[in-house]
Amino acid sequence: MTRLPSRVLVLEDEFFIADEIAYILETAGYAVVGPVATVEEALQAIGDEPPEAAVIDANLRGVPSVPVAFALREAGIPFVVCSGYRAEDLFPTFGEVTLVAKPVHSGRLVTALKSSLDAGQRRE
Amino acid sequence: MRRYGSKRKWRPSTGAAVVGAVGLAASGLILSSYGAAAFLGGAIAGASATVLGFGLGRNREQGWAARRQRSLVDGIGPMVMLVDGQGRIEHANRSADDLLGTARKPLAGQLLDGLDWIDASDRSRLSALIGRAAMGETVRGDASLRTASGRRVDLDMWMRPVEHGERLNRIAVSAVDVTQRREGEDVQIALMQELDHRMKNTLHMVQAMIRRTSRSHRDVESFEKSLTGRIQAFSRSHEILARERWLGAPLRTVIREALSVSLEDDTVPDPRVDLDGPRIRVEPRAALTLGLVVHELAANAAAHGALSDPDGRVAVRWKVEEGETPILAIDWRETHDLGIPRAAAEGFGRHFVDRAVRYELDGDVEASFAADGLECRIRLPLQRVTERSVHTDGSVLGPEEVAA
Repeated sequence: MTRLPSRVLVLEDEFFIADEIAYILETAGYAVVGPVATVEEALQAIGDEPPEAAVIDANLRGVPSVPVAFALREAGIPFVVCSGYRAEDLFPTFGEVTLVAKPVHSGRLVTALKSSLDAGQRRE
Repeated sequence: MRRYGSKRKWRPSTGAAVVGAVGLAASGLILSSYGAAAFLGGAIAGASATVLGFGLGRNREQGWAARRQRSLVDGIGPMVMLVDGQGRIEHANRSADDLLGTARKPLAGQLLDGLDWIDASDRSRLSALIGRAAMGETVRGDASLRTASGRRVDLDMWMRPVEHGERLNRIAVSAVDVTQRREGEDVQIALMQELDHRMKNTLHMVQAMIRRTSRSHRDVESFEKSLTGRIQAFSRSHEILARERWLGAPLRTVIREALSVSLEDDTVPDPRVDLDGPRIRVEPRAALTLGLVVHELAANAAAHGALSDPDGRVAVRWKVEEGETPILAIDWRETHDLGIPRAAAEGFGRHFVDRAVRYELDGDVEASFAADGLECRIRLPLQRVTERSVHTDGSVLGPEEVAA
């Protein structure tokens, strides 16, 4: 049985990096939603047509993306955080997150995303 | 807790005065070091003893010595106090009075752990320290206290029992105000974290540039040229921002530096390049993006357009268009006699300019090929490129340099 590729939302404010993450995900067989650069755009994308997973940057020009993390958790959408910061410094009120350190290693990002998706499916 | 000595009268001894004087001489030499605090305990004990001795009026020389020592103790930078076994302050030097006392009520006569303005939790910690010192222990520790003015000060504090003999009488309390040092350490830690983060972000940016550039070049030579150009442009914007302490950058400088990367001798003014526009400062993230955007246009011009023609011209004009949403309009105009090069219309450079301006600066790009060269109009919301973003992450440095 063939499945449609999972739709993955990418939230990242720097174009070069957003482009790279999108490329890594597309190469790995995912369908990229976005990339988007702001919290508002991400929330709208989640509301419009919820993706199956997300890769989010933790800090968008000094604005933490934690509202997006909460919205994703609320909607039961697994996600991975990409950041140069430590997770506990970023989302101190959020609890545990899957963090992929910047600079992003493509294999690690794809593995982290896959395990998040698998864990999400097991819960269903 | 049991405390000693409050009822017993202090008897000055010449021994204590000598110890005090030696201590003072030594501490005068190394006042600024922590080590000085160890001497100060002895110094204040000796000095106070002599001051009391002066009251008995044994002789004139003793009086002089007492006043000299009193002056010295008052002149010491760190706080020095003599307290009894109950914590009652018998003598405080000027530094102690300045830091912990008030103008109306000198410290002498008050309980050190009973000062009104000290928080209850700090009070009990002080009481514990005084209790230990009263039992004959020399204690040293950090104490954070609220002063009469409400400010919190960090102290490196010593409490040392003084007077030899069967029972203890007094405690010499000395302390160095380390508030600024502590704050400096906090700033340093925050700076280190910020530096670490920026380093990772810059490396990620370079990694992304390598991957992106490699996809649009077939041979190593052109890949290398394109990649180093991008890294050069990126690092020049960084350099301008570093010079401006990451507060922003003059738009003209950003354009000039990004352009010069693609010129053979790496300098503007170049007779072929003409920059003109009002003085505008752009915020750091916009400076980085605009630097890369201008570089892509310039690299393109050097490969296929006006900068590949010795008689070509590049005019960059910018202005602010007032209105409900003020716009920063940057016009890039090339003129040359090469005809319209097909290669110029394609490739990652154009794609990048378009995407980066939309994605990072909420602007738009219009590019058209006139018969004599490329014309590219970039329109950006002025507020977006000039205003610093809201600082929400608590980092020490400005927010706009915080990325990802």
